[in-house]
Amino acid sequence: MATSPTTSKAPSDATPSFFGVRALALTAALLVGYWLLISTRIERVNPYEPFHENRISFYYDKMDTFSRITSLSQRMTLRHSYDYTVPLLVSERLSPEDVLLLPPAAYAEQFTRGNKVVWTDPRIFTYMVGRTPMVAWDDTARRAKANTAILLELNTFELVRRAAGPERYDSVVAAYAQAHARSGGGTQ
Amino acid sequence: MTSVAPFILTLLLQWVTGLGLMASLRSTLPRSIVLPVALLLGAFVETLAVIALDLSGLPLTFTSVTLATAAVGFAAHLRWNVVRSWYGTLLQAPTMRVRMYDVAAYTIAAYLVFAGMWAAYYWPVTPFDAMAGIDLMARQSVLEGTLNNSVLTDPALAGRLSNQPFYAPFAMLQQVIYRLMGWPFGQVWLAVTSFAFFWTMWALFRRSTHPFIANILALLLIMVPELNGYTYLLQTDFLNAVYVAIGIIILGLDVERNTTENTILAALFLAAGCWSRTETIIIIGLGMLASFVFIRRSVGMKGALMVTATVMTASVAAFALWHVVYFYGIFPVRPDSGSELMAFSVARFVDVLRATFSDVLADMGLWGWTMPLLLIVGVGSVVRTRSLGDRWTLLWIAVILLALEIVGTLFASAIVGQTIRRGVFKLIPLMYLFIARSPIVAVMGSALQRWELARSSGATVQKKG
Repeated sequence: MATSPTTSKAPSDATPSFFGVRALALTAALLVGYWLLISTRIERVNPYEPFHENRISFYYDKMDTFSRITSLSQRMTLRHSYDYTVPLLVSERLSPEDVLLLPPAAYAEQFTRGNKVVWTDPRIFTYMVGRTPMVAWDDTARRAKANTAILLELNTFELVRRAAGPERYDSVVAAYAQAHARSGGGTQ
Repeated sequence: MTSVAPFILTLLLQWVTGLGLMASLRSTLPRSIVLPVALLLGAFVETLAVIALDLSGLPLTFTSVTLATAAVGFAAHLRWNVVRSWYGTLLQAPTMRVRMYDVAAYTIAAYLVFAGMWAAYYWPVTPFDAMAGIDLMARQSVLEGTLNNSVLTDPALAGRLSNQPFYAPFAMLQQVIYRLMGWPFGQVWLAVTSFAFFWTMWALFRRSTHPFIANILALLLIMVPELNGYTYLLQTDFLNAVYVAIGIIILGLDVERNTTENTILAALFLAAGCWSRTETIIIIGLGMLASFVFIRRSVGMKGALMVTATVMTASVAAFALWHVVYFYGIFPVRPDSGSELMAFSVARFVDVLRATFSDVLADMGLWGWTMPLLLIVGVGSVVRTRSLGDRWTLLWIAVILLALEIVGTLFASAIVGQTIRRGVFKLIPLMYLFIARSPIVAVMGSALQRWELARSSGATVQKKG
């Protein structure tokens, strides 16, 4: 019984020389084949051209630019945009007694030209900035515990605290409810 | 840059641990795949070391995890007499001869793989499932030094954790290890895994067919668009595919050689599959059942029972360690998996099957030319040689596909366009191996070999090692 790694070879035992016309021909065939594969655009026939263009080539084209951006925060912003920046800016302005009411995604999406928003999910908010006293919009049982809402505007926001004026706070919550209802989520 | 030294130390440790275990198990795997397989094995073992630390109540730090892994690595080398002779064979002069087109292929592969490695290093974790689940858990575990962390009890998240944080823990533990090293986004392990995986597959292709064809298949495998994307996107599926496919291949190599020498190694890889995705236990159960006849024919009834028992025990242990010990013994909360289950419905099964073929498998944008190649090679082999070829691999391809359809039918959250699409990752390496070992490719390889050697001056004849 063998007790060591086996070293038996593949089907071929004879090895042609490294340099030679046929070795050169096969190398050329490999290179030309690869080049044709990544550069010939034929819809629904060659999936490798768009793959190379969108993934490989894209990264090599941008690698220099990206490599100059070393800050983690900037890399997070590049990748996650407002899903990172909004939780970051909001958490910086929260005071210890604040319990944040996260808006429904539909409300936040009014300010992103309809682009999908995920920071309103408490798991993502926590992922971006760590554990924060907050209540998810659909957590109706705990909603009354929240005392701070986020009033979004284009390119800015304001934290609206219930203690500073319940009417204003309630109007923000009403705006949340309206956006949620308009998105087909029903009134909550 | 402070994370580079811990990274190198961890890689070395994983390699030494993997090699030590393979040596202790007296692995007879082909030497060409020993190094990458050892690295993958070491990575799996290191996650078990994290679990052992966590279960014993010790805090998870880079030092504690490194020491625990070093202890496993040391223990694996205790039978030094066995280990030393195994290393002796491993370190003999290589028999592989590099050809000119190999250099070209390696260069192209390095160019392709490096882009993914750089992306894994540079970009933050992106997939929603990872941010809402495994990496959320990993980040908090690193902060608190325990897997049983406050994410699970945070009132803001109560009832909203869904099943993502509870995914089988392999990828999450890799994130813990790499975050402990100091990598801000963890996921550099994806680069290590993909490198070791492509290396393994390449070596297997070279063993199966002419090197020129092996190079083409390896490059096509690297360029499978969807699979390539997940070599730098944090999810559980690529990791799962790597371990499951290699486990199946190791088991197949044993069956082919009528031996059980690598059963424990294969069982460890398949257990790592269960350690990375929950539904893998179904796939392995079905696969072992379906392949029992093959194994019995190879090593007899007693051997087949032993192989099946070993594989199933390891897989069930990996499954239970997380889904029983942690869910029922450690964590204060657990996912309500029961509510996900639906009664089996033939109509839904047919729908899932139809959607899998039309929306997933038939999409060349996802799998490149894999499926057409498989069909052409399969039909070509039958027509030309009256044989389909590697029936072991084909059987497992069919079993995995069937199991994915069953999972898609039974679990409400298993969506064809996502869950099954990524589940197909497991099929891809097996499909390329099937192609490499098919009779028609063997015919092509022989023709190519004859042409390459004809009038080729300076041809040398290699001795078998």
